[in-house]
Amino acid sequence: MITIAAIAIGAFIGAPLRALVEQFASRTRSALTTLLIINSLGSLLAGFSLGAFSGDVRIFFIIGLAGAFTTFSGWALALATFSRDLVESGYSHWARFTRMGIVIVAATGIPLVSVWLGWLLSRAY
Amino acid sequence: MREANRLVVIGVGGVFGALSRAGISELFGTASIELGDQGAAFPWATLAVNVLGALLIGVLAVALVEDRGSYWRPLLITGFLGGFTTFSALALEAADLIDDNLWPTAVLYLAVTVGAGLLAVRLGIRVTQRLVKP
Repeated sequence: MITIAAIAIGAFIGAPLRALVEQFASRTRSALTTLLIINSLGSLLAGFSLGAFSGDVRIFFIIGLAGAFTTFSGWALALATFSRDLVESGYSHWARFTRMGIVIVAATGIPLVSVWLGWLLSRAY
Repeated sequence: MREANRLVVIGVGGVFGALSRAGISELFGTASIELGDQGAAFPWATLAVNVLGALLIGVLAVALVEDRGSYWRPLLITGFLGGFTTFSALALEAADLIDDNLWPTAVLYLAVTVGAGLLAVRLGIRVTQRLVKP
């Protein structure tokens, strides 16, 4: 019961927080960049929480807050839109492939490094 | 729609999304994640959640395209699907696999999630476009 409450409260904070950051960052950044920032911040928090907390506090931060703050579906939709725009922009096959590759490696690689950074940070503290 | 109301609606959607994700994870009996030890398992639950969520966002992006100013988009897209799918668990699980020296599995996990997610979004868009405009 406490575990369910921990997830629910974390998500009730995480999801609206994502909407606020999205609203703010999307004024100057593309949808993909905005979601990269959100996903990296959430991954940093998840990595830190993994090292710093245990039990329901950890579940609150990792599964609830960071889980609902970060998102995959919105990112996949933005990536599909980006890929369609690339086709319509008339780039060559190779140029499209390279651009998609860079975006995907950055969007997965930076959150992955953020997890490690967060975890190392928790070890230092 | 007032901004405060919109945020509350997103929060409610997010709670249902996160609890559904946790429920599916429970169903799969996912092993707990720890860095600095062995025993990482392939994260099937998060893969299923993220690909299913990608399919649904494709459906809803088309179905709710003309929907402006109502609570459906914040509730279902930003709230529910945003809270249901997750990127931090994906990154955490990939890090856990790498920590166990399972590099190829980690790369495979990321590639399959991104590839299947992209296909699922497109499938959701296509199917819904056909249904909306026969």
